[in-house]
Amino acid sequence: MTRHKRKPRIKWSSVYQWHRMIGLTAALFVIMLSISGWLLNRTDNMELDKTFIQTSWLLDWYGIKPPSAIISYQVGGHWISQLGDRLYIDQDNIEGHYRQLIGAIQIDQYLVVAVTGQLLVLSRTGELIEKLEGSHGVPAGMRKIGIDQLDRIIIRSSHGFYITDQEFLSWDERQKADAVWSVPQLPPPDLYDSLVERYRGAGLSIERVLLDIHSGNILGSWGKVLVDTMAVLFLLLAISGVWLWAKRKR
Amino acid sequence: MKKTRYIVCCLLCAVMQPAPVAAKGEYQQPQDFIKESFSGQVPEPQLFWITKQYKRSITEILGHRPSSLRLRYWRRQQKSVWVLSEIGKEKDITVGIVINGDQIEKIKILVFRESRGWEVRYPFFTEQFSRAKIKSNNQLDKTIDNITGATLSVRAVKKLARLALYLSKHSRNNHDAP
Repeated sequence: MTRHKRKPRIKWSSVYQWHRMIGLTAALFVIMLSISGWLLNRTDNMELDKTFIQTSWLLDWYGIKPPSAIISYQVGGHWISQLGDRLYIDQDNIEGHYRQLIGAIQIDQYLVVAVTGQLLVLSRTGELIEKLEGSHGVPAGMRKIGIDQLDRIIIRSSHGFYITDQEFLSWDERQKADAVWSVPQLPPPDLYDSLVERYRGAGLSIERVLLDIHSGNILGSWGKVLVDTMAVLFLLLAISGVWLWAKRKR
Repeated sequence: MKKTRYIVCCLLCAVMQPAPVAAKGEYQQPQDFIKESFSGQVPEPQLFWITKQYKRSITEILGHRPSSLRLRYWRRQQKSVWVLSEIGKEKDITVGIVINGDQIEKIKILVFRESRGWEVRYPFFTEQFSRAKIKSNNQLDKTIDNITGATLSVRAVKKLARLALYLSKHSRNNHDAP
């Protein structure tokens, strides 16, 4: 008598158990990914890239600390300061990222701030009038900015002196020039504290945090392992779900 | 013999690395672009003040308030040259634009700082702007094809093209500071 070998049958009830367990395990991550994904798709509308985290513990988690050094110049009743790559006029951020604050002067109705490679022309109320660069005649290698006896702007660069007018329409190169040069000063302590707080509070956007939550990066390399594991579980969920549906249909 | 050929091919493939494609970078210094546009005879720069009269239209063109109160440009007769910057995704793209009469003569990406979307610097894209004008609603009178994967860069360049045409049109009446 021949005994026919039975094919091993997958117990669909155990597949169902696994499907349920994986589903419950993954539920929290599905919700987290869905919400973060939905929000990320609306970054522009909700300006999430322009809204910044102020919570201390989260800033600490990201290691966002202000630089220890501050450079400040007092000019025209204002303080021009640099912390990291950010510039401030008093407590207000001047939009953009800058390398090195070189000096600041007041000439007529303008405040002129020299940073590496640029001159920023501000109104007396701190509004940005114009940013000038090499294409506008700003000399390379600026070291100092000052005003001469004739109330002209003088720039000392690595290869000479440059005199310009208030509108920066022409530049005159000289070998020597006398000027009252802009000199850095220590800002008042309350201004320093305020700037430190502002610097930290503008370092981490909501978009960045959402991207890191969505990718698992917020937990470092372990977060990525976790997200990858969830991806595998979602795959198993999809496969087992389709299998169960097909089984029920039969 | 077949095996030898296969080994040689593998070795050649391993040795011949694809040349890295230049992405972000400075393609031309703005001052060189200006000089080239005026065949070496660069006129004195002039100032365009963004007064209340122009602020609304410029805000509509850029999709945000202008970041400065005045812009610098160079003009000789019908030709004006503008060096303008606009953020693509996160960083500025600096573009040189030559306007002749009421149309774009030339547009060139001078500095590209983003890590993607740099395809906008190629002539296949920039030549689309040749002879473009603006209509009364400050939109370009030509369709500019998008580049997949460079949408934000394309958008930024289109904004700057419109802005340069608008500024050139109004620059003859704009002389006085506010």
